[in-house]
Amino acid sequence: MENIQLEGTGRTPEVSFNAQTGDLSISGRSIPENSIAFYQPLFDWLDAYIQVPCPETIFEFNLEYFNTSSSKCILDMLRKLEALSEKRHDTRVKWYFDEGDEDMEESGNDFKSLINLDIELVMKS
Amino acid sequence: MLDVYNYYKQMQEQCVILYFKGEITNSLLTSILQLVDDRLEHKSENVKTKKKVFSVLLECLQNIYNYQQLNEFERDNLLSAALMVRRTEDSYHIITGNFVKNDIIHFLKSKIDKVNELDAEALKDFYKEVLLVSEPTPNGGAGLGIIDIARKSGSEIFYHFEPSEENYSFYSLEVKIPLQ
Repeated sequence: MENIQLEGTGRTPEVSFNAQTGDLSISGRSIPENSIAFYQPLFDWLDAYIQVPCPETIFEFNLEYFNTSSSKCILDMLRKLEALSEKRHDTRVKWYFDEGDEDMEESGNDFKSLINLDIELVMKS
Repeated sequence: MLDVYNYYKQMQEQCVILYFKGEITNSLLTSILQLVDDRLEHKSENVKTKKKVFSVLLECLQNIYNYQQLNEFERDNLLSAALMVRRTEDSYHIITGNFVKNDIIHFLKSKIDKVNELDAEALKDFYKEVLLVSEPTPNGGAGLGIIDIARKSGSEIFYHFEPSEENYSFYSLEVKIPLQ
């Protein structure tokens, strides 16, 4: 499986999906007005990955900003991971937020309450 | 000659730090966000205030942009919008104005009235409820934006519809974000 490595831009996040190590991460700003166009290739990759996953998968979200259009896409990615976890594969999510950024912390808690997954909230200092 | 100084003084008195009028294109959106980002950095606002102002501005502008993308407008001048950012002693104010078709007024009013009635906890539940049922669409439009704006600002959202040309009204929105 090919890996995904995308540089971040002012509107889209840096993405690193590694099928060999199971390390997935999204960081920076996710504020495109058409989030589907950006996320569709990531959904497709995840669909393929969960067929042949690593023994351990860690997905790190390290976002500065995300818009409401992206929040639906984030939820959809988490749903795919939830499916992986239900197949008894070790699946963990880390949700980073800046110290004092209560809104980003709250967003992590929102997703945590909606998805049956091990989501760890991590404060960056 | 147009009295620019007069405009300047008025904006100064009203603590306007950014004013824009015109069509909100994709590249302009990027520029405005960059500009506001720089201003917030320059004013050394704390991280909470900075992120709230940026997020609210982003949702407001993308709401306008997406609405315009999804609808046909009879005349180009109806795509012109206004944006004002004020920074008073205790808060930021994001004020936008754009033309909308009259058939959407009822929907917008009831949506904003509803979020204005909800407290923080109820807004959180409402956000999650809408997030769960909404399908991602190419241009957003599920109505999550206004809920997010209400959550992040923590203040009442003000609006006004001024009838303008036939079938259209000028929709003004004001969101206050208290300094954190």
